[in-house]
Amino acid sequence: MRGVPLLGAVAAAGLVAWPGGPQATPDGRELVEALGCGACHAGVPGGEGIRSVAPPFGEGAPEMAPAYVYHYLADPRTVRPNIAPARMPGYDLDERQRVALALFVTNDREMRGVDDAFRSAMRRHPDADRADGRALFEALGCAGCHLHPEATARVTAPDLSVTALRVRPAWLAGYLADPVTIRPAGPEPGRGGQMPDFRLDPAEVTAIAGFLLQLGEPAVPAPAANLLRTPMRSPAAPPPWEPLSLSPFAMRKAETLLRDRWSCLGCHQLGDEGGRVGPRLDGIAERLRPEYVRALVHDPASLAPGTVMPASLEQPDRLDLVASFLLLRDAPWTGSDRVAGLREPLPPDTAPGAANYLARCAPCHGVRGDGDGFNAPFLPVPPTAHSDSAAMSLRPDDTLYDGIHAGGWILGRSHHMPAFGASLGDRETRQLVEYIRTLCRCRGPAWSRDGRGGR
Amino acid sequence: MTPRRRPGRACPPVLVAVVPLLASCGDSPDAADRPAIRIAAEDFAGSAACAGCHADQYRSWAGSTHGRAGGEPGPETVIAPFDGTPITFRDGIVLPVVDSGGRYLFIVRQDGRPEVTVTVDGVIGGGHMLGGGTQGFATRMGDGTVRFLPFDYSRQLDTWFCNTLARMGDGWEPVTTETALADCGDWPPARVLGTLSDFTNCQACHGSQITARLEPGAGMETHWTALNINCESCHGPARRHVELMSSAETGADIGLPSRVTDGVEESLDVCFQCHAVKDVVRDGHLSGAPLAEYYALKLPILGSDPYLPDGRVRVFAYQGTHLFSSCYVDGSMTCVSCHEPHGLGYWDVNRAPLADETDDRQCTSCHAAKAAAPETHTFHPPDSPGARCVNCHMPYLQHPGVGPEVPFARSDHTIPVPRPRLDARLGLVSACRGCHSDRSELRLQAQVEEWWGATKPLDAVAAGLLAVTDATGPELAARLLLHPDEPGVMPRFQGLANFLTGWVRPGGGLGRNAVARVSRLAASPDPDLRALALATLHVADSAGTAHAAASGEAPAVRRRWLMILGLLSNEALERGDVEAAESLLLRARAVLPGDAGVLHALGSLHHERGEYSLAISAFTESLAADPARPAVHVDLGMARAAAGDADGAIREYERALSLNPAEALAYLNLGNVHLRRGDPASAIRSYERAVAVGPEFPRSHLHLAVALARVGRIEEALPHARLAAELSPGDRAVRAAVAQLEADAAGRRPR
Repeated sequence: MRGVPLLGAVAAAGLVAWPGGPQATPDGRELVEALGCGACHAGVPGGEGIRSVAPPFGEGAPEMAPAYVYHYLADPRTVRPNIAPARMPGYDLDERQRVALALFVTNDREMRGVDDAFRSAMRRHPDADRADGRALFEALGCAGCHLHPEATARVTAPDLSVTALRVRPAWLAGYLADPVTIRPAGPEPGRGGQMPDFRLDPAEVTAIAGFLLQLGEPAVPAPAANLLRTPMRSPAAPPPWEPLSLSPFAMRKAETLLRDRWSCLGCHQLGDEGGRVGPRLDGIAERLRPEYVRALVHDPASLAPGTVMPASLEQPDRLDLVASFLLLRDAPWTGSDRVAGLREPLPPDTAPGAANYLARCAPCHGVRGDGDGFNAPFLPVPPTAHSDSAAMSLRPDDTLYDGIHAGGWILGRSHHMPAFGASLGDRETRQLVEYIRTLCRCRGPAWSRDGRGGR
Repeated sequence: MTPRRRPGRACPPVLVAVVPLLASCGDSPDAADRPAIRIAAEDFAGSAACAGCHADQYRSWAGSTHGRAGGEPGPETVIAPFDGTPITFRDGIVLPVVDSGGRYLFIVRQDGRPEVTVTVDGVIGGGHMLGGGTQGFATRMGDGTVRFLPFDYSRQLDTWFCNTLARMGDGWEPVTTETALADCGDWPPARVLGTLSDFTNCQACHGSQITARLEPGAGMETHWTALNINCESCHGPARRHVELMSSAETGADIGLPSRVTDGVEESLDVCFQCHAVKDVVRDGHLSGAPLAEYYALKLPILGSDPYLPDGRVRVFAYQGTHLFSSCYVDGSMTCVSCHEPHGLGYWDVNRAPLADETDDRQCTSCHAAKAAAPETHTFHPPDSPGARCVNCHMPYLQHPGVGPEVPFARSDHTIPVPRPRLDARLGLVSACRGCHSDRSELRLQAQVEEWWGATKPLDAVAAGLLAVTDATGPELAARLLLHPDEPGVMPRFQGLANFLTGWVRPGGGLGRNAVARVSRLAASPDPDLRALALATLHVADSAGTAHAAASGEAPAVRRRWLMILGLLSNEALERGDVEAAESLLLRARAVLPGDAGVLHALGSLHHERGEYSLAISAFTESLAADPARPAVHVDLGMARAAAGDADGAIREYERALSLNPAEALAYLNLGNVHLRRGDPASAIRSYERAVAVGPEFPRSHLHLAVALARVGRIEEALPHARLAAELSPGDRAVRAAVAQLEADAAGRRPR
C-alpha cells in the first residue's frame, strides 16, 4: 500500500497482547514470551511471539512516516497517549541515532509527513543515513523483534537459563526494574549491553525474576556462535565458593596486581580507571555470585565459549586472591556508561586471523591497526599502531607472537595488553601475526627471518 | 715511604681492585642527603620469627641455597674436611680441626714462627653452586672486625684453595706444596665482613644484615642477624611486622611491603643487593633500604671495568649482567621470572613450577613462538642438550677474574645469542664450542649462519665498543659510543664511560656532536647515567663551570658525580698525572662543597706534592666536616710530621686512636715519630701494637724489624722483615730493606 502513511494500522500492530491483563497476577513465563526476551537471549523461549506483533519494516511492510518513527523512538507514550501502553522498550537514543533509525525503517523515500522537528534534526546530522540506521538497528537488536529484509538479528544476549548460577536475586530484580548498561562496549562500539527498559512494574519484575531464577538447562538453543558477541551456553554449575578472607594488606596487594600488573583493566573499569570493553568491576559482589566470579576469573571460556576474554595464565592462588578482592571490595554497583557511537563497519575481510584481530585486537589497536580502537582513549599507554610500517619492521614475527601469547608485560610494554596464550592456539596466533603483517604491509627485520627457516 | 692510607677499600667481592680515592666519599653525606628510610639492626627479627605464620615458605627457604648459605660453624654448615688432614703449603701446614669443645679451628704452623690458632666464627657458603660451589670461613679479629680466612674449599675439586690475586695476581689457586701461605691475599686476614670504606671488603652479602662500623672511642663493631641469607634479606626488616601481626587487628600496613607487587626495578634491587657488583655510595646499607641510596650498580664500569662490550663478564660480575640482557632491556624480566624466591627452585614467568634449571619453560613461557616447533629453532634433536634453551643462551662461563684453576662458572645472565667468532674474539668459550670443542670457531660460526642466517645485531653501544680503537678520533668515538636512544641503561653507561675515559681530558672540551649526545644522556632519570653524563660535561668544560648545575641535582646524582670525578682523579694519579688529578678533585669539590672525602683526597694529593701546609688545611677541613675519621687524623698527623711538627703529629695519631683503639696506621706512624726522635724502645712498642691490630700491613712488620735491628735484636727482626717481604712481593723498597737486614744479620752487625 502506497500513499500517505497510515499511522493507525501500525499502531494496532505495536501492542503486545498482554497476558492476563494489567490487573491479573502476571506470570513470569508468559511475560518473558510476550516481551520477546528470547529474541535476544538464549535459554528462554524464542522471539516468535514478539515478532508477530512488532511491526515489520522494509520492503513489503506497511509504510511508516519517518517523522513518526523519529518521535516514537524518543517517547512512545507521547506519540501515542490515547492507547494502551506499548511494550516497545526505551533505548535512550540520541537524536542522531533516531534520525538514522527513522531513515532506515521507513519506506517513504519521498519523505512525506516530515515535520519541522525531524527536518531540523536531519540538518543537524547530515551524516546520519540509512546505512547508519541499519547498523544501529542490528546493534540494538531491533531485528530480534522487528522483521526487516535488510537486517539480521545478530544480538546474542546472555543465556538466561543460567541466571541462577550467575546473578544475585536482589540485583536481578533491581536490574529488571531499571536496567543499566553492564557491558559498556563489547569488542566494538555498539556491541555493548543493550538491555532496553521495558518499564516493568514491581509485580512484573517479581514474576520475571522468579521465572528466570528457577530456570534450569536451556530448552532453547543458543544463537549461533559469533566472535563479536559472547555466545552463552549453559555451563556446569561452578562449585560452591566463598571469597577468601582477605586482610587489608591482601586487599591492597590484589588491587596493586589488578592496577599495575595484570591486564584486566585493559578491558574492564575499576573506579575511574580501565577500559570499556567488558563490564565494570565495581560492585561485582552485588551483581554476581561468588563462584561465578571465580570461574570467570579462572577460565571465562568455561562459562562462555568463544568469549574474547582470555583465560588467565596466572596461578590459581592469585586468581582466587583477585576474585576475592573483587567480591570483597567496598564499591557500589553502578553499571557502566555505554560507549557511544554506532558500530563501526568492519572491513570485509575473510583473511585468516581477521576475525580474531577484529574481536580481540581491534578494540584497542583499531580495526585497521592504527592504534585508535575505541578502547584506546581509556588506556594509559597508547596501543601499538600495527599499521606503522617503520615501527613494525623492527619487530620480529616471534616478538609479535610472544606478545599475543604472553601479554604486553613480558615485552616491557603495557600490562594492559592481555596474554592470549591460554585461549589461542599456535595456528590462531600465527594467523594473527600474519594478519598484522598485512596491516603494516611489512616484514620483520631481516635477521629474524633469515636462515633455513629457523626463527 | 710510610703508608698514609689503608691499602684497600671497597672492592669486587673476591678481588682487590684499583682503589678509588674517593670510595669513602659516602661517609659524610650532607644534610640534604640523609637516608629517606632509616633502618637499624634492631629492626630485624630473624628468620625464626617467620616460621610460625609462614611455615610453608619457611620450610622451602630453610632448604634453599639461601637458607643453607652459611652460619655458625657446625656439622650442618661445614662441608670442608675439618678432620685434621693438613693443608700443606710450601712454608707450613694448616690443620683444620674440631676441638673437644666443638670449636672449628685452623692451626697454622710455619717454620720459625709461633703456631697460630685461628677460630672459625663464621661459615660462608655451602658449596651449592652448580658451576663451582665454594665455602669460606671468617674469624673475629681483635680489632672488632670479622675477616675472611685464606682457607677456602671447593666442593667440585674437593680441595682447599686460596685467592692469590691480591698479592700474586693469579686468582684462585688450589693449595699445593708450591704455594706459600703469604701467596694468599687473605693471610694475614685482610678482607672484612661488612661494608667499610677503609677496608677491603665484601660488602654485606655473605650473611644477613651484616653491619660493621666504627664506634668512636670503642673501635670497630661487627654484627649480623645470620650468616645465611635470611627472610629479611629480601623482605626487609620484620620486627615491626611481627609486632603488628601479633596485635588483634591488622590494617593495610603490616610493617612489610609486598614483594608480589614489586615492579621490575624494585624486584631487581632486592636481588642486586648481593648479586651484582656495585660501588658504595654510602656505608651502612641494610635490606629494606632503597638500594640506590647506598650503591651504584653502574659505577664499577668506570672503575674496575667488570664487563665485556656486550655485558658479559670480563672479570667478576655476578648476575648484574642481567641488566644487559634483551630480556630486561626489551622486556620486563626479573630474577623471579625464573627463580622461585623461597626455595630457589625454578618456575616459569607465570609461576608454574619447573623441574630444574634446564627446563625450557623458563624461556618459552615468554618466547612462546619458539615452543610450538622448537626443532625449527634449535636444529638439535629434541632431547639433546643442544635443544635446551639455557645451554645455548645461558652457558656456564668461568669468571676470568678468579682464574681457571678453581671452578667458578656462572650461567651467563646476559642471555646472549651464540656468536662463536665474537665469543672467541672476546676470549670466551662460546656455547657452541662448549659442546663441540672439536670444531673451530669459524666452522661453528658458519654453522650458525647456515641455520639462522645473520644473527641478531648487537646493540649500538656494544657494536661501537667493538669498533672503537685507540686510533679513533673523538668525533667518531662520540658517534660510536654515545647512544642516548639505546634502550639499555647499562649499555648507555658503558659507552659513555668508555668515551669519558678514552676521549675526554680535563678542560679539553667536546665537539658539538658529543655535547649534544652527552647532554641527552644527562637527561636520564637513572642517577648513575645522569651523574656520569654531567661529570663528562664537567670534566671537558675548560672553565669548570658545569658544576653550576650541580646544586639543582638530587643528592644521589651529586654524590655519584663526585665519585666519578674521584675515580678519574685516582686514575690520573696512577698515571702520574698529578695536575689532572688535582683538576678533577677541584671539580669534585665544586660539586659537593665541604665533602669530607674530597677534602681528604685533596689533602693526600697536596701531601704527595710536598705541599704540607695545603695538605694540613685540607685534612683539617675534612675533619671539620666529619670528625669521626681516624684515617684522616692519621693523614693529618703525617702531614704535620712532614712539616716538622712532630708533637702535632703525635696529637693527631692519638686522636685517631681515641676514635679507634685498633687504628694500626696510627700506631705505625706513631712509631715512626718515636724512631725519628731516637726512641726505638717507644717505637718498638708502637710498631708491635700496629702489627698486633693490623697484621696484614707489611710496613708495620718492616718498621718493627728496622726498629728491632736498631737495638740489636736482629734475630727478632728478621722474621718480621721476611714477613713484610712476603706480604708485599712487588715492593722493591721492602725487598731492599729486608736484604739489608739479612746482610746485617749474616755479618752479625746489629744496628
